[in-house]
Amino acid sequence: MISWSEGGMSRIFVFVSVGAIFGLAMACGMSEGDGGFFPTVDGLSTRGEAELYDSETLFEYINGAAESYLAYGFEELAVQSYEEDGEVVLAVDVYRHRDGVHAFGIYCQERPDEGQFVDVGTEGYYQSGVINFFKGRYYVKMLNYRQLDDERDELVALAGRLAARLDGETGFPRALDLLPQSDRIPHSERYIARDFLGHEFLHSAFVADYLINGARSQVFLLAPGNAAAGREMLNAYKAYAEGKSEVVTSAEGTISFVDPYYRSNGTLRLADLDGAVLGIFGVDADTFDSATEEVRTAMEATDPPL
Amino acid sequence: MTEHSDRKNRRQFIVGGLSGLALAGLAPGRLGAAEAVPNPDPDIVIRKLGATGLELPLVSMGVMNADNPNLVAAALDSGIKMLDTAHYYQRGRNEEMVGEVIKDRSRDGFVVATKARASTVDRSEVQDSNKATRESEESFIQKVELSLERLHTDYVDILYLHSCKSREDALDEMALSAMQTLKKQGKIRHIGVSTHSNQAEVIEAALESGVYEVVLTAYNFKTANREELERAMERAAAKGLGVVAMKTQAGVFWDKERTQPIPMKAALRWALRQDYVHTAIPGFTTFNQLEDDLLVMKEPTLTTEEAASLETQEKLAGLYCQQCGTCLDQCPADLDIPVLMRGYMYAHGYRNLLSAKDVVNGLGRGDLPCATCESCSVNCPQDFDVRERALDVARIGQVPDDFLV
Repeated sequence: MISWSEGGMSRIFVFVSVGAIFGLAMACGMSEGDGGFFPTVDGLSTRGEAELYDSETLFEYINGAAESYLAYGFEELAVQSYEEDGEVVLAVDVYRHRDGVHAFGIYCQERPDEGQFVDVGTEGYYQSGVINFFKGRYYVKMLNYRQLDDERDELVALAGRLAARLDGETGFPRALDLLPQSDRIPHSERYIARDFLGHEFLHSAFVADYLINGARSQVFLLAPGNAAAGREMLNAYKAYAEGKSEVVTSAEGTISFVDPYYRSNGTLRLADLDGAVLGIFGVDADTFDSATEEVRTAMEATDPPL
Repeated sequence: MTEHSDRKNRRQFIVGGLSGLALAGLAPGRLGAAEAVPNPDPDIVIRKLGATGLELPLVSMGVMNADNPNLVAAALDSGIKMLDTAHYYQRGRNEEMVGEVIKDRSRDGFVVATKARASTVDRSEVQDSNKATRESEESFIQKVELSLERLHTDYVDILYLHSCKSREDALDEMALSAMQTLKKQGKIRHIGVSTHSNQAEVIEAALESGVYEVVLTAYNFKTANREELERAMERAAAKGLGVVAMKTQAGVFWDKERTQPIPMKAALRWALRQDYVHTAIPGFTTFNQLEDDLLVMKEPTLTTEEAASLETQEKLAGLYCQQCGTCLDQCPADLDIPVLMRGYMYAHGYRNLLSAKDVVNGLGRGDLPCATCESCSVNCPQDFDVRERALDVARIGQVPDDFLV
């Protein structure tokens, strides 16, 4: 099982040899079987050695898009190309992020709303020529140029072999389990690391879309890791809204207002759940209270606490 | 049609059919104008985009890293006119998001620019052209047509040949021919080229081509070979090309740890201080940043204080060792050079001599072996004279604390 090392590896370089990857893998107790880190592919040979990029050199590979990856705790990227008759026909990018939550977050940035989801890693999807998936703190992107009659099956199998070599659990971030289960739109879950809703003071947002009474709504849980940080976000949002909108605080402490930049979404209701902040756009107070109770109960049952 | 382009079509069709909008912003059907922002301000400074006939506010929006349609809508509602995206951004989702924002707006009310590469690689950028399969003219055109579908528009105002790094890239015959065909078809209004590296060479090639009407170039106060680039930009503008600046934030942060942000307004004003820069496309992801950009649109003059701050910070940043560790295996005396360089920064950058002394003495190396090393074998990627800096800062280890307060 491969586990890229922590910390020290961030000092590494561009274009180091794949031997470095092997070295790391061996240091972590992994065998070199089946070609080392990247799987072998029948009929194809690897083009040169894998290239590694770190947070300082990622811009050289994906240019300005690197900013988004860095916002999601990017640590390192390994790129391996495969060739046939001298032409590159398959490319595999393995991005390693700070943790599973951030890998999920960047995966969601490029995931389509609709797609052929496949059973690879924690979640993946296939589009013609493409398989992307995430597992643990890895986000993997595979691009195939070959004409294959059974492309999907072949890519899924290859992705599965690579996924098996990546350490980490196959599971979504725990916070998503706390969001209300009913009416949730499948594959709509996402994690926004920063600037949630375009506000600098909102971050660490777990979001999902719901179909409530025929209307699409958005539910989010701001889960920064401790109650104080959550409360700080709630207070910042409240302070932002005051003066721009009528802010109402209920007897139970629920705050509601219309965010002026999201007026067409209706009233936003927020509740401090002592560890996370629940927010829902465009639902009435009773619906919100019911959802709040469901999430609160789920949080209390979560062990270890969120 | 070749077998290869058949395949591309299939892939593009499927990718293009995906709706994909639920990012940081709102769900489809919920997008509305941002009622909170004021109407466009008459004080917004406008410049002509070369001879294109387009007149644009000084600040446009680089949409690449934005995933919030309400932010894009707010930008348009508050006076920003041009949105800049690309075929590859977020695997097409970026164009789709822009399309959702603009589809119900008057087509005369905004300018949209997108970019297409001459390769078929379906990744945002790839530096190694060996990995890229060449587009045919037909498949290039189909790629642009897919962008139009995503954007819900019949035409884009500017199509850039994306990320050219050399004269050869910019004068790619296939791409030039395809873009001219698209222009004749009315699917693009103006032909442009974008460049992140070797910008002066690419801009000169754009002039040479007689085809390009707009250049989009990386340009900021930290740009290498700035004078050469500025001469090329000035020449391009004088010849009637539109000149658009990107990467004006110069990396956003001063430091590797990303704790010290570069002042956005000052950096943007710096890039706009020359008349031959017609507009800039800073990326922003928050409403606060939008408001800052709106201020710059009306008050673009770089203040003396801002200029001084950028200059000071840039010099200071030059003192920063980026702690890349390249030197660690190079020193025959096995010195922890990154630590020494940090001490140097404390001493000369922060003027914090006590901290510098702590760092130096913390090494526990006494007299540095550098003094007796005949020639330093360390090759620093930042071109630091490591031996000179090490000896300079090492002196502080012997100075009594009383002299350092």
